[in-house]
Amino acid sequence: MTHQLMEKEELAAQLALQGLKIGEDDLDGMLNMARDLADSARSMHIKREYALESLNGFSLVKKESPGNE
Amino acid sequence: MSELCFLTIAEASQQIAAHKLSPVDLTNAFLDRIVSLNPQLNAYLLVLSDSARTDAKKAESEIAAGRYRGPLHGIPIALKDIYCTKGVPTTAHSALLKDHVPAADAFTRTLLAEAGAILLGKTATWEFAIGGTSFDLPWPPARNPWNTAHDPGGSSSGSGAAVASGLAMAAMGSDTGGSIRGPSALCGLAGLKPTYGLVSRRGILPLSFSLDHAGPMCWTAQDCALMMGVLARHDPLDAGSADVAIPDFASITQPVRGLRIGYARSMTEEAGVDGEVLEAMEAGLKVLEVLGAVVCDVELAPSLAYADVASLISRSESYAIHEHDLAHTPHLFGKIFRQRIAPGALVRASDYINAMRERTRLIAQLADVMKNVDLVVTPSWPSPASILGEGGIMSRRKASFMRPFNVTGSPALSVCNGFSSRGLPLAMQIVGRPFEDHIVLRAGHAFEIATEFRKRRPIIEAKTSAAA
Repeated sequence: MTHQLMEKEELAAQLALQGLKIGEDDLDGMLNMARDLADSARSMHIKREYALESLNGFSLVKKESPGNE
Repeated sequence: MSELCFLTIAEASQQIAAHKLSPVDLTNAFLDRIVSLNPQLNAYLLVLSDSARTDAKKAESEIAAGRYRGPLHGIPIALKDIYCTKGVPTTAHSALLKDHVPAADAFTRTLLAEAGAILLGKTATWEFAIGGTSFDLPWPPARNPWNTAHDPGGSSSGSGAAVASGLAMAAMGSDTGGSIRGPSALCGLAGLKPTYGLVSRRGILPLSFSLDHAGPMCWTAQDCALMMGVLARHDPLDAGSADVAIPDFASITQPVRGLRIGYARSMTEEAGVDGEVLEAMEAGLKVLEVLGAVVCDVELAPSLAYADVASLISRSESYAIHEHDLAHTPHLFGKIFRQRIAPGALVRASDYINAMRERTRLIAQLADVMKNVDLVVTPSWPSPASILGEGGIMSRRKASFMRPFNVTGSPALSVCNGFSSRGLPLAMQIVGRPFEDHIVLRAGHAFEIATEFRKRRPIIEAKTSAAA
């Protein structure tokens, strides 16, 4: 996801590359969502220094099981 | 007979077990009320009158013959229309699945049927449990029984409206970012998002694999416990299902004296929270103190930190589910659904993975906080119900007290903790440690017993035909 705030035309072009044809009526609302996601993605980038060492997928139980890598 | 429709499961099941209440009479009372009120509330997409009456007769015969199955035997319930029902349409409130008839039941539907519950019908939902209050779908959106001009919340909108208005004794919802607790809060119910993995999602149309939870929506916390006694079961065919000891749901009547309860006050100071919501929280904390709980403030990560993680994970997983249909038949989705899901195409794999890494940090951080408290409380929703369709859709900066606990997988219950000056329900969220759902329900039950809020029901009259 681009970490820049995109404009409508850029959003439409990027979604078209993914095979999605977006009508003009949808673009305004979609742009707000896309900008929110870009902000969220940027915040993950900022937080990378805090990231834990492993990623075993999400399970409240299995991640604690010995030998479950 | 409408008074039958306002019994709790706990009350009705005692009468049924004692042969003082007929499951047939009970089911007929609900079916009559649905005919009368559903046109105003749009709570149900499909009513299963014939099969419900057949099942009620079967329950009555079994009970008369001494084969009482337990507290859900003969109890009329509803399922959100993303729960697959064998041979019965399951639409997700979407034109895309208008003619979809599953070949198998959801695992939870099977468990409820085996317990003897009577399925009244399938309830309205936001499209695929995310679309928002939409007016461009094949069916109208559900309305709030406390004021039909207002939103019942979502995405389990019809389940919330049905239980609050006495159109079902309990209903199943699903919760990916608050979709059980939100409508429970705005409709004045008790709604439990169980610990991730405690209730199977097999056969429930997915929204986000690692954030989806299935759970009950009832009038009381005690009824949620009765439902959980049936629903909490390991399912090896749900990859997220946990093979753990089932919590002791019968223990919820124990006192809360000595429980340590932390109020996440800092979360309420981050974003605009309605003054009446904050007042109800302060009053609720005093009730818990009077009951003997030890109340203090706790500090969690900012809600925005949870929102960022939840959004990236949810949108990625949702897009993966709906990619093909969005590309090939986008016109079969409503506008709000398209707007919310399509941008998920742009989330990179590294964004998703980093969000999952950050998620593990947030889970660990909450676990640290909960070394010092047994429960955390927050408001459930930052305001009373908005006007139908005017609530806006969830955005990154809109306060959510519920999404954090989808990220962490914690059990979280919404209970009614008052009413606004306009008569709309307010609600408190009670959060526990993983697999301590029974302690969450214990606090909710004690709170409901100590307050008067369970004695008030929405007043809704059947509309007669307009005068010529």
